[in-house]
Amino acid sequence: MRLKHLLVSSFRNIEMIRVEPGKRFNLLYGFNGQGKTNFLEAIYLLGNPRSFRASRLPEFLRHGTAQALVCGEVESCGTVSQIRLTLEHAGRRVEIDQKGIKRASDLHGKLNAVVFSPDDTSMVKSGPEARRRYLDRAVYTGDIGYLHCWHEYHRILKQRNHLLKSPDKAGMDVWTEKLAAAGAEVIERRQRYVGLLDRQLQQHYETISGGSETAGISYHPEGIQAADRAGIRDELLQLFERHARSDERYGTTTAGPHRDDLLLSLDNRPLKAFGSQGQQKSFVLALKMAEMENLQTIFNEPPLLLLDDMSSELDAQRNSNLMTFLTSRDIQVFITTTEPSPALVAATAHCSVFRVENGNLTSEGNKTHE
Amino acid sequence: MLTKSSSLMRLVGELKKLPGVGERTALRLAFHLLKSPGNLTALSEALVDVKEKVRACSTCFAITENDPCAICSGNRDAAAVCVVENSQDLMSLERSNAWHGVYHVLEGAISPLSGIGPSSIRIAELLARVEAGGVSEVVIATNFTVEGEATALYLTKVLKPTGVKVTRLAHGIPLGSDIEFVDAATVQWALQGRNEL
Repeated sequence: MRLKHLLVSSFRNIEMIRVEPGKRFNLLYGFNGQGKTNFLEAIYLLGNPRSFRASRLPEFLRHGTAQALVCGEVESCGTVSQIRLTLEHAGRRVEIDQKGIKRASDLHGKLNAVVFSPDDTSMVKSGPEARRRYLDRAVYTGDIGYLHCWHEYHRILKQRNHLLKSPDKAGMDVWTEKLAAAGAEVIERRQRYVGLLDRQLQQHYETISGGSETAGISYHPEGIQAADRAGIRDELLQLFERHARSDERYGTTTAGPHRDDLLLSLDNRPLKAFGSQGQQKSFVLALKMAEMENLQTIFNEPPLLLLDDMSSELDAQRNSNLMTFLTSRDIQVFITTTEPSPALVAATAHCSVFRVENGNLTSEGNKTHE
Repeated sequence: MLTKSSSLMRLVGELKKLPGVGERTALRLAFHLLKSPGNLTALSEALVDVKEKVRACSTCFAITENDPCAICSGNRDAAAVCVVENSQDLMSLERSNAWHGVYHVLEGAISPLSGIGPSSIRIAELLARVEAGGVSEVVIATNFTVEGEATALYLTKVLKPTGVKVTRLAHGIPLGSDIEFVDAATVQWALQGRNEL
């Protein structure tokens, strides 16, 4: 996939940008707070219902304006289509080739992008919720059916939790059974996806870090040994059974896929506790590369890669490893840094350079280093 | 100028209470009624009658003017009962002309978030009907929402011990539609529920 043209207006600190990104590497440099990440966010929002930053709709609107617009031309499998996103206080509207879409899932696969940002690295150290959020988002990008079963699970969960708080508990077993059935689907899809990621992870970790540690990602849902949906459902029922008393005491469902965690490990030891900063960053980046590889298999073409704030994320050696790897792939990359780092540019044969200043983007042309 | 208590403003106030009707639509409707030729006796009578004459059938709880309703007292197969959430759903099933049995209207679906439990809807009445004998099949036609599905499961649980055959409406690709235009989630469902030919 390639972004051929992008128009952003009244989005965060961006007043108006029109840009034709390069086919391969696009380097955006500028001081902090100039709008580099906003630019990446605008691209990401074209293909995703939610931002990779924890933000709400009104924050997208430039101060004092009522409407923001992001419009992109995307080339995918030989055809060019236009995605137009309008953001207003009342909500967001997406049109693909001038036709409004009805469901969020209609946007699925139209513009795939994998982001690597400082927020991602912090996922290693933070609580299970951040890792779950990462997992859910990643599974959805490659599996369109996931959104539906995830929503269904959460709707049932909400109903069950409400029932747990009310004095009359009639019908509890029905909600428990429904929750187990929907939960089994969520777990099955997560397991399948994490299995795919794990197979790719090691190779990418070695490429980036140059280290010989064994990187692993695994998902062990609480109380689940089975791998097939019917088996998972039965085990979930047993899990809910075991937690019935604590559920009632706390008035909420205390176990299940909405509480599960993702295990990230280096040489079979938890990355969180034993990995150095550098190892953690390399790990998450390798995870993103695995994600990219996966999307390429599913959609038969690579997604866009958005690398936010690279200068602070990786040291020179790892940067150069990453760039060497990316140069070997036919993929459109957007990189933001605080300075046009020679190491970054030197590694890349064709790189379009843009200076970002106060929400404006100035093209400095192509820099070709032989 | 008209005061708030004038009959026109009172009409606007009443119309505004209707679902989907705001201030402007209410005003437009009120002026339309005001300017329409002839008197409005037919409309006002229909309005009064709908409240006075329409009630729930004591057998199936469908809305009716005569108790028992035309379907319950008609020439229908009383051994087959189709369970729906409300009378509107019943009307769509009737429009299909495909159901020759009778109905049972639940008047809602189980939803703890809305404070609706199994005892708030007509489940006990359905069970009594089945237990009274003469019913061989119950078709559950609640909506395919989380709440409708939970209600279906609850009904299955309470009906199974009576020995009655319990079935559920099929769901999947809508008739006359191209698979091309069906959303991916529905296609996944349809694949899971495929039938052998």
